[in-house]
Amino acid sequence: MTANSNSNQKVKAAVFKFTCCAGCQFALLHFFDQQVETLELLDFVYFKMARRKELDEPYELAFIEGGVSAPEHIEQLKAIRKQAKTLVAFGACAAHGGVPAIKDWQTEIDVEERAYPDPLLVSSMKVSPVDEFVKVDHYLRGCPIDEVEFMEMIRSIAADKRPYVREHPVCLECKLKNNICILLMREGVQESMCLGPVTRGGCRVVCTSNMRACFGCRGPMSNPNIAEMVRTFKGKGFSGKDIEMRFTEYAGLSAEFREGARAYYERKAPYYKRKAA
Amino acid sequence: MKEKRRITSGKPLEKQIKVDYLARTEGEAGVYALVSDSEVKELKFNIWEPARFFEGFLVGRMYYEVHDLVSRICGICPISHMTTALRALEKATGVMISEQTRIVRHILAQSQIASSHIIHLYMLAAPDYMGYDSIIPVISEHPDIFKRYYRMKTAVNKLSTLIGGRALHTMSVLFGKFTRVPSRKSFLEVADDLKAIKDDALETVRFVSRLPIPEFYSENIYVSLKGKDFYPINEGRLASTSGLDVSEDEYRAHFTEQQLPYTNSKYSALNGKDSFMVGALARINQNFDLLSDDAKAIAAEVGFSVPNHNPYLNNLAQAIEIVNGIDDCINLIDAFYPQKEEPAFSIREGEGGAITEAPRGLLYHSYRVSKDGVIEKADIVTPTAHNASNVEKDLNLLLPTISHLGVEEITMRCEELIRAYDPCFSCSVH
Repeated sequence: MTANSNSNQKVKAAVFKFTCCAGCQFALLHFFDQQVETLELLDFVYFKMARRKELDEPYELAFIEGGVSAPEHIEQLKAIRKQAKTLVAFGACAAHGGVPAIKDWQTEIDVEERAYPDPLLVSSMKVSPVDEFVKVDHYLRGCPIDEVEFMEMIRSIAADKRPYVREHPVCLECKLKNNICILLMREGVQESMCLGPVTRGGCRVVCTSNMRACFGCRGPMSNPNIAEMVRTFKGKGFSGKDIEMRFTEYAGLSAEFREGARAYYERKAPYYKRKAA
Repeated sequence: MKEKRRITSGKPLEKQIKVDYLARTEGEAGVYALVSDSEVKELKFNIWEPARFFEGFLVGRMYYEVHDLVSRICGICPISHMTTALRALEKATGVMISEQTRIVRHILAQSQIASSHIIHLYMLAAPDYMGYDSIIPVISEHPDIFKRYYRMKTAVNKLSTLIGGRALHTMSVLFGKFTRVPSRKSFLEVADDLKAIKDDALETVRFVSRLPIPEFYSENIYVSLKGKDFYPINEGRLASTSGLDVSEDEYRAHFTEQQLPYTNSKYSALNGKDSFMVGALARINQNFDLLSDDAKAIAAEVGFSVPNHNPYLNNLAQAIEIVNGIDDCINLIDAFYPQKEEPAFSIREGEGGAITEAPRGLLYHSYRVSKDGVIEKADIVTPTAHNASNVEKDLNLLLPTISHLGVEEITMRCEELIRAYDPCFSCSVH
């Protein structure tokens, strides 16, 4: 098994779900049969989607799936942090707020009233990533998570090693795979508005290999050049609205992508002018 | 004996059924019931999944990204949300898609329905009847069952991956087209894989029919799409066993939604009052004649006939649908010669709604799009929101008949019933 001294001791893991589609948990079910050896390193003491068992055992490893969108989530999250030795933000929603966080860009009550006749009956607030409230040890990014990266992380954690953190952009992996550049070679918003140059890699370029422009589900790479990305998009003739939409789809809450999305607002009405009016 | 004494002493025995977080379902929900003697005092099916307000935040987004965003409503049936949203948006903006795109979307949807059913049957539903708390013990104790499950899932996921790029949250689907359509050769390779798992699919029907599924009779109104020449998946007329037969555009004239204080999911009603069931059982009850010959034959072999009024047997209906889905895909692939196409289209403003059959039943999406392509209104009703009120109705019927059992056993039977509906709470609270 692993080089760890307590290697025959399985790592007790628990999976918690907050505001998300449960697709990353479901991806885990997908891996169950393909990656039996790796997953045998873990003992899932709490995993409601797979197992009819209450949380009655201590655990060391907590997977947090989904963003935080209700006051009661914060307390639960803090309790989990206290118990868990290692806390993993599991998927795009936990890491950056994900798709549900799109509502943070609009007035909360307007959004809620469109969906429910009486929003007061629903407990909800702005969506935040998990690390807004507790310390996160490791991030598994992507919508949904990537299988290889996940297995790599499990093995690292079981061996008490730091998992490999990818800082490079999606572009790097695309080049290694000899893909034709979507951003340069294709036209149209749907086909060529690729966020690859600023998005963190590690997804094995599954989208661009299928001729789909990167939509940035893994969030920003380290130190991306957002201004140049926006300039490139504008040069290709995309409107400010298109650019804003692209940056706010999956990781709009990250500081870097926020900057990209804001380019649109600033062009429309600069901040100082808005203040004066 | 003890129970009897307490009843005669004038103090009825109350049993409390309380499940805070239902296991082996998608999303978060609980159930609370108070049963006294053979009377249901209180019943709450509480879907406490956090709300995400998709209908709210989609307003202001662009038409070409909506299908990607709504696919994140659900981790198990993203393709259904994607296809329904695309059909609604294309209708709203007056865009016609090619016949090829329509066929590929149909195959993609069938592959997802088969995959979802396989996972639901083996991983979520079957452990109850086999006496396990999860599928993990099955891996070592019944390797033949596990291997059968694995073969089937791998083959249908291969088909989803071939078309969609990956099995979960497919990304090759675009508004009005696909980024690329695979070659005939690669389609035929997957068709061979599907042929190889045909026996496994038939065996799955036998396996499910042998599970100790409880006898329970509950006459429901079944609502599903109704096909004319083929089993309806992405299109068809909206029909119910209570006599409804209308086009999908008239959905809102017949179906209403209501918000309740104890649950985050809205409850759907037919003609303002009736609860109804959607899903595999509803589909088969209304479209049995359109199943493939093998699916009909295996249904006869295990003694399944329509109309069937046991909601627990939604599981068996799903197993039969897997056989039908595999046959459907093989036939379509056989006659499919992909062509290279570069569709061009312009959009106009408008409003449109579409209904498809998701693995869990009827799914409705409707949008209004401005002339610039900005979404002005979004309306989504998911299968589990359709079913929610019927689950309560069935629990109300079931509980008096099993109130003599122990609390643990009653809880188990209630959970099994809810799981038989294959609920997706993430979908229901979108």
